[in-house]
Amino acid sequence: MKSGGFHLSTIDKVLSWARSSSLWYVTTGGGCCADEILAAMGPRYDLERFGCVQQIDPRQADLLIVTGLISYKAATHLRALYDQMPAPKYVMCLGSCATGGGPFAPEFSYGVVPGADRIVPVDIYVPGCPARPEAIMNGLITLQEKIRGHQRSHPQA
Amino acid sequence: MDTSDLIPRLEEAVPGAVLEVRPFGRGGEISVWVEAKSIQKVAQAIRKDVDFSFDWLENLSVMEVDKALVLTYFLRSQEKGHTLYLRVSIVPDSPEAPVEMLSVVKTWPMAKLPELEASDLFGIRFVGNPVPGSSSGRFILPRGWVGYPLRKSYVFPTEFLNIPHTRPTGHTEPDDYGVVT
Repeated sequence: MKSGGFHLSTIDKVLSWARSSSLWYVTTGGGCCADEILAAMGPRYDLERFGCVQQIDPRQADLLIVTGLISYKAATHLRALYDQMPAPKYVMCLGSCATGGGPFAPEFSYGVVPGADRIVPVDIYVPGCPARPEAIMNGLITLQEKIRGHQRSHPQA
Repeated sequence: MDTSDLIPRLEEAVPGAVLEVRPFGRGGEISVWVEAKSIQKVAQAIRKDVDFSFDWLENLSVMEVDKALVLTYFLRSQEKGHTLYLRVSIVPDSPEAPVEMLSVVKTWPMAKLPELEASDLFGIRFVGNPVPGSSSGRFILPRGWVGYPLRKSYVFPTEFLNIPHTRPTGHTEPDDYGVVT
């Protein structure tokens, strides 16, 4: 390069590989999807083999997993949780409630936010009510592929 | 001693307070409709009564019947094992307007939180509730919320904190349940 700049292509590849291989996550811990995360953490599914470790502190987390419904009172707290995380950060919406309000919003409840994407930018949605551990694993692997820049299961037309 | 024996004593202690005595549920218990403005005296009277001593407010529920708000106090005496249901009806000026009611916290301290809940969701201002700002603040709902959600006249908000309370538009075909959004 003439201006003395440099490319980061190889380093970027290494960095994204490293980031995708150690997705430490923090969860909001609401709803029944939180139990499914516990099941996914357990010995049968063992989320840790993908490099996913649960964190309590959002400042040490790369991934925010939103589970359960979000009320309008909790919306500001969810945003604060997201703002505390260091970049690069990713958000996963787990289950119907976090994705679109589930069976509550907006027709049947006045206080439930219809989807976490109204509050934080969402990278990946995992459907299910609640989502099974296999679905959570599939979502995590898809997110890893997204971070690495690959397309695993959806070839481009 | 049966709960119906309490009624003559109550009429003696607070004259004119008892409006009606009706059966409640299938268990043979009775509910006593009393005047809203004499609820504090009635509460004191049945709390101090030596044979009944209703000292435990299990629950405070509110329902909207026609234009009136009906409050039900679920009472129990821990020593004697009696059960009683006190009922009070208050009518707000308009379907959306808040309405005032006397607090029974001095008699039953456990009424504090149910009264706050009722004031939040039904717009009943409890005069005498010791929590600061209990006549105007929000406790369960976030600050800045408009309206009382469990009133029948309540209309769902279209947005709160700039978060729209609607589904994304663009669907023109009905979904599995026949709903078009």
